[in-house]
Amino acid sequence: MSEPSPDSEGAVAVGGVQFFGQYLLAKGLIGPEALREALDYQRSVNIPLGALALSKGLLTEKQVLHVHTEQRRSDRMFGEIAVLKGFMTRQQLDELLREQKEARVLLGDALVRKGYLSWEKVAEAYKNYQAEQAQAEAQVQRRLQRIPNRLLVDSVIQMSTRMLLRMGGQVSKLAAVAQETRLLPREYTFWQEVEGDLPFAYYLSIGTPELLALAHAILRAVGEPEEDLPQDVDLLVLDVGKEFVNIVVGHVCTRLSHDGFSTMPLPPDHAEGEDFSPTLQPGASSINVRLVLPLGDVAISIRCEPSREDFPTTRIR
Amino acid sequence: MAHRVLAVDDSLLMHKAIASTLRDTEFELVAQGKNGEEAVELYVEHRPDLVLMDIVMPKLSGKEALKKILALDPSARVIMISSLGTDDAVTECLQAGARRFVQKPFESQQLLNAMRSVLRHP
Repeated sequence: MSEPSPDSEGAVAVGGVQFFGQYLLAKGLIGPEALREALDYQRSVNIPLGALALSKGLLTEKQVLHVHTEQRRSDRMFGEIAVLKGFMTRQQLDELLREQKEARVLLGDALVRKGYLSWEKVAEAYKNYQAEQAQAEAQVQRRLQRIPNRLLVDSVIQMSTRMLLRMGGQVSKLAAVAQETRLLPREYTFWQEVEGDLPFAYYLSIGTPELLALAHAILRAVGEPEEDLPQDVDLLVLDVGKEFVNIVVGHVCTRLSHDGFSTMPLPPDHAEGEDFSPTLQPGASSINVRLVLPLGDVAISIRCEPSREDFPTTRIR
Repeated sequence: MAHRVLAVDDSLLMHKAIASTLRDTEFELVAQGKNGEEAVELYVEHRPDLVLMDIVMPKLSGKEALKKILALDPSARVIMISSLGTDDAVTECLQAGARRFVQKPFESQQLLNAMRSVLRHP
């Protein structure tokens, strides 16, 4: 029996897994402008831990830079690395975190301060949001349990969310997963095929605003001056999209190699247009995943051979 | 004198990242290629001190280009830079003669450390 698609699931009244801002949007409590303004406001007033430690004289500028560098290649939090490096004590970190938390402006605060919502409205909406999210997250986890080829699917979800954060600076959440036969189209699709013991293809379908945001974050990290960041999708942005997919897939293959699978990716490619539909091998299956971002979402499709669906989650080496 | 570097990657983004990493260092980027075939041609033309080579590329892969370059010049110093950190890929490249393996996404300092280390151990 076919599962409902992640897109149709997202359109159900409960709204699926989403960030609080998207929930408020979906409920019609705020408009997109209000959300953008509140998110910008949050970014402008919330102090990152490194800046806070610097202002208190706990870390030097060099140490902050060192931690940032380390952070880009690990999944550890700023404070955790600073403690591990011996730059501060655990007690100093706890104190800093407490201070940061007390001063933190949450999205609801930002919307109230900007005059978009009252405190009462935010509190009521947040209570409902939490209840619905718990339900939606449990539903997604139940779906995930029934998805075949879990090792591959889990690796894809893990590496995609990790690289969105590490390279693109974007927090994402697993919003939906379903076994499907079609790709969920966005304006641009980047893909890469992988040969070997566990052949598969990875498709990342993404809209223009999300693609530009990702490209800007990645280009800033390689030192591209702010005034040179592309304002429209051009060859450089498409190249960033392909390289992002190449890095995600490379890390998925690396993860699979730890379980004894030998795989080799082919060069990545891209297509434009929402009607893009890759040719599917007869009988091949597709697992579609939707990741939500604070603003927007991305769709991921994993195509694999039907014979590989029943692969055990761990292979004996 | 600056150490002369050849960078080969099919991604424009990676060329930007490498150029930005080498800026104001003892390294000079003398040529950039976008596939394995160009890597071999540019190596012959420039005879660089160091080659930074991607693996997954069109036309000729980085692994094949590595073998061809080493066949031409067994003393060539090649560092592989790839997102593919599988046991097979790393072992194969190192056994073929690559000096180091750096996984993408890399940090500037991480790449510079690898490059300096290779030059210290000729």
